[in-house]
Amino acid sequence: MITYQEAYDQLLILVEEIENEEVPLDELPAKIRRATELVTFCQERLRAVEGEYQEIMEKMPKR
Amino acid sequence: MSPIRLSDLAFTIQALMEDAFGQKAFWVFAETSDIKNYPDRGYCFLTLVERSGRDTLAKLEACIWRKNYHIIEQFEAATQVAFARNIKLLLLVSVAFNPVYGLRLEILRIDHSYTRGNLEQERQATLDALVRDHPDRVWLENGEYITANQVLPCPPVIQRVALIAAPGSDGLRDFRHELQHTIFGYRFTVDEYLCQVQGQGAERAIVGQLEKISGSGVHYDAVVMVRGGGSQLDFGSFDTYLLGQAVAGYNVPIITGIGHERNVSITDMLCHRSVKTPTKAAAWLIDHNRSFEESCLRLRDRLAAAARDALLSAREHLDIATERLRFVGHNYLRNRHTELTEKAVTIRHLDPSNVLRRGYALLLRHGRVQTKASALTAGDPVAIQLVDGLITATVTDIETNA
Repeated sequence: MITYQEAYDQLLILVEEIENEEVPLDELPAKIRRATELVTFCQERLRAVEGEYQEIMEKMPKR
Repeated sequence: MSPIRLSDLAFTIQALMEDAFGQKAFWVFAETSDIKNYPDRGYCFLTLVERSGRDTLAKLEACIWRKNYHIIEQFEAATQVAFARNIKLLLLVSVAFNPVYGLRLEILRIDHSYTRGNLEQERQATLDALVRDHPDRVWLENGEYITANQVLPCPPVIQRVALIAAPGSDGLRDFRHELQHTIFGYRFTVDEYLCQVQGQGAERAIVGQLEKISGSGVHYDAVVMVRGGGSQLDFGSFDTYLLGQAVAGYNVPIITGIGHERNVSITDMLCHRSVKTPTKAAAWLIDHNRSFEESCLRLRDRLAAAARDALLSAREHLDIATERLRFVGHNYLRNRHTELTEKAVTIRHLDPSNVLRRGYALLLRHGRVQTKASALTAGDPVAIQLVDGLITATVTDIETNA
């Protein structure tokens, strides 16, 4: 399974490719679709981690 | 010479003594020996001696009468030394002879600074000897005495403690009470090694207990030595070479709370940590453990903050990347549009009908576009294409550019 960091790095590469117009027009939809999938994946993963963090913090001893 | 009565002789001696010494007083150096003190009655008998090595050079009986009895208390308060045997004193005395009680020195005053100075000299001599004899245990750094016991690492949490105290003493009770009633609920295992901790020879008893602790096979985190409830005097044992060298070289950190209000004993100087009282010794242990717990709590807070920061930063980065993605996709398409539009404009500019519309005309001969005047001759039939129609004409004159 892909990690958050891998997904994020791939996303950045895609963004840069598009930004630098290194992508042929015909491939643009596929690239954008992939980038969007990566964003969704990262969002979900981050939300899950934030949830776990909250859970752990609630269990942490107070004194 | 005819025999005389003992009393006659005694009175004669008394008269001679009276003549010789009378009301004179003398400052004398002397060491105390057997003391019979009667605080209730307000007088004290003692023997004064002067020794040279093992020899006794002089030995005289002395006394302090009621009118001067307060000098004992003053001496003890000023010097923190118990008025007892084997102390060196500078005394103001008068000489008296009594036919019944014999020769006796009456002590009128005691010089405090002499005894204090003497004690200080003795202390210094003891410290010098310790540094000389045990350089691996005691050494000087920038004028301070540093010992092996002081530089021992103290475990971050102290739990097993060997306690040296006098059986049934206030010091023992105070220490235990303070330790048990900590608000933090720390638990300590305290093994008692009880012995005499004051008075003559106490240093041997204490060193004996230190050896017993070493031999116990128990891994103690610290040894605590307390003394409390006894007299404010009688700290001599804690200034001895024997106890000093044992404490300085001991392989478990020693904490002392020996209840000395004013002075710091050699043992205090050489041990790992010295506090004033048994209660403070217990408080020190609790503080020590508390600071470990506090460092754990600080780490916990740092951990929570770091995790929170990491999540926030990840969230921020992802948001920026998402926004950028939207922007670059949009930009990419817009750029393609722009490109196409520019091309179309160029193409449109090149279209001849657009050129004609701007006022230019095409010259045709036999249906072909003519671009050079030199290619034409006067009389040639030509056609002129304008934007909205064709004109037929004949060349009448030709003038080429120079």
